[in-house]
Parts: sequence; C-alpha cells; structure tokens
Amino acid sequence: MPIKTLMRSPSGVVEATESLAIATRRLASEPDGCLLVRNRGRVVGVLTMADVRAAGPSTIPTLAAYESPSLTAHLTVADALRGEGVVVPLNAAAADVARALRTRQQRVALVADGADVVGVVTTEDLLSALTERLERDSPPRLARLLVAVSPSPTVGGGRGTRTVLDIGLEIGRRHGATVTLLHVMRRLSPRIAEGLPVGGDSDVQRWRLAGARASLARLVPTGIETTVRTAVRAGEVVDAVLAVAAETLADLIVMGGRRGSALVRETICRARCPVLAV
Amino acid sequence: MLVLVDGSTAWRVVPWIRRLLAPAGGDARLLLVLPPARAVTAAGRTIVFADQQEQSERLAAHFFLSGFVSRLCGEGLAASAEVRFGKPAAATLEAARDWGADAIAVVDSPARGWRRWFTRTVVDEILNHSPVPVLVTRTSGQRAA
Repeated sequence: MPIKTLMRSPSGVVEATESLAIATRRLASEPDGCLLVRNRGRVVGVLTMADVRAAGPSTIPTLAAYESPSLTAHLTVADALRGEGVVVPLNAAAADVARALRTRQQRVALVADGADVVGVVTTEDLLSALTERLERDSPPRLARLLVAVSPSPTVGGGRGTRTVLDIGLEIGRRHGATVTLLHVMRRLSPRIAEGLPVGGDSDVQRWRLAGARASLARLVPTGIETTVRTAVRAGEVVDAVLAVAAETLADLIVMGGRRGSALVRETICRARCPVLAV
Repeated sequence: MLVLVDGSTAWRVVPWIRRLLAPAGGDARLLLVLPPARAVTAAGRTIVFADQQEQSERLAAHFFLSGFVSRLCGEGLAASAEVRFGKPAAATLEAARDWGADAIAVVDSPARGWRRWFTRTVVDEILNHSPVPVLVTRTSGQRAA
C-alpha cells in the first residue's frame, strides 16, 4: 500500500524558535493534530500534542511542584521536538514507513516529493490501515451465540420457542458459530442444577432437571452443521442468562418471550453484548 | 435489516451490523428520523418554508449517512440510507413495514436508576410494537464490535 493513499495534508506550520506555549494553543485548534516545524525555511519535523506533553510541566502535582514555571514558559518548539523528523518519499510503502517510525521512535512521518514536504502520516493513520487490512483478511463474524429458550409448552414454548431456536440456529449456521441453548428453571434448586445433593424432594427435582435436559436436546435438529451445546440453569432468568453469556463469552444473545417484557428489557439493560429480541 | 441511527449513536450500531451481516450477506438500510421541520419566519415574513427546510435537513442527513453506507458497501453488503421526519418509533415501524424489513436494529441509551422504570424510550416503543425481531445494542456498558 503506497503511503500517498494514507497521508494527510498538514495545514499548519510553526517556526522552531516559536514559544511552545503559543504553538500549543495553535495545535489545540489544528484539525490534523499536528504542526509542521520549520527552521530556516526548511521543514525539520512535526509537533504533536504528545511532544508538547512530554516537554511541558508534569501533570502529576507532586512532581510539578519541583518544576519552575518560569523555565517551562521559556521552552520553544525546538525543545519539544524529538530528534530529526522521519522523511519518506511519496512512493514509499506503508510497511517501510511503519518500520522507520518504530526504529526512530517517532509518531509522525513527513512525506516528501523531491525537496517539498507534501504531507504527513501518523501512527494512527497506519493503525487504521492495518485494522482495515486485518478485517478484510478475516471478515468479522459472531463466534458464540447464546439462545435462551423455554422447551416447556406452558411457559412460552411451542411456536415461540421454535422461532427463537430457528433464528438462533440460522445465525449460528451462517457464522459458523457455537450455539449454546439455555433453559432457565426458576423453581429448580441451584444445587440440583449443579449436581450436588439436596433434601427430601431431590428425586423430583432431578427428574424435572433430566426432563428439561431431554426436552432441550430434542429441540436440536439432527444433521445441523453448527456446534450446539445445551445448558440448564436454576434461578432467576435474567441472572442466569447473563451468567451463561459471560461464561461462554457470547457475542449475541437471542431471546424469545414478549419483547417489551421486564425480563427482556432487564436483559438488554445489563447484557455485555447485543440482544436480539425475537 | 433496518437500522435506526442518529448522529451520536451510529458509530455504535453500524460495526455490529457489519459483523452480523458480513458473513451472511444481506441488505442494511440506515434510517435517520428527524423532527418535522418548521418554516423560518422573521418580521412576519416566511424566509424558509417547511419543505425547503426539510429538504436541506434531508440532504445533510444523507451526507452524514453516506460515510456509513459506503463502509458497509465496502464489505459487500447492499446498504442504503433513508431519512424520515416524525416520531422516531412510529417512523421506524412504518419504514420497516414499507421496506419489508426482516429485523430492526436500534441503539439503547438506557435511563439510570429508578428512571429506568418510569420512562419509556423509543426502544421500548419499537420492542413493543415491532412485528419483526429487534436487535438492541447499548451506548455504554457494552463491548464494542
């Protein structure tokens, strides 16, 4: 990638002998965030806010107390410059520019066409080009999906469950994602869900848990291309959905139920990833 | 997928749309809903009529959306932009119906604390009345795409 496609044209120029305080004020209003520094008619570098911060008084009050304001007020632009600027030709490759900046520990490179400086390239410009390149090479996709379903026909099951499941599995298939089917049983003992021993009605609860697991497994169509896992949790629906979403690092939560219900709304408000309310 | 955006939240939802639709392919329509324009009058004379005002606002909105549209198009998606005037929720549902959207994507800026239970947002309206699935992302407290 040639650097001329990434460079920007700096509009501001500052003299190396100018006061750093005045240059800082100009820099703050500069849309490109940098100023070309000129010395005896020749461009010698680029001044950025990072240079100003590094040269100026400390931002830590306990350290700043030992710095004389009269000394920092006399700083010039030349004092803030970090060595000689990196100058690259107009037809240089982006990789070469990045390498030169890294070697010289600079943040901005000057792009020259012969003897004239025609633009600048910052590390941010290079990073955005790199990001685009990486995303193009491996298109973004959803890797993990959490589908909250209720296989029980009495609690929003039946047609609704099938729709949520179909949409979840279809998204999972298209993205090649791992789909986790979650069913939350409110009245199930959390200890039973975790396989721990409990009191008198443990057999009934275990029977209910086994039934829920079997129902959930039956929902998964055979011959499906994507990886499907099932999970049954006990407790509050929203807490359980969010906990499993965090455990599985879900990129998307697919939920059924009444869309405007407090349950869906609460999940939307607390989820760390987007929620698809079906 | 119909994507409801505004000036401050578009950057939040568009990357998710891109991530969701890029591997699967699909159409994305970015919808910006603006309040109805009013005529500008001074000293009893109309300087700008409401339709002229709407037209200029529409052009500005299309210009704003064009960046996001071209980014989505660059990913191989069929993206377009639409600007409507009116109430956001009603205009979104109407646009979804007109366009035949399979899903609606919105960004939620949730109210904090007790206000959450007493305020109804555009997202609530859309969630309650949408005939198609609704994808909700948040402005804060959620990881980026």
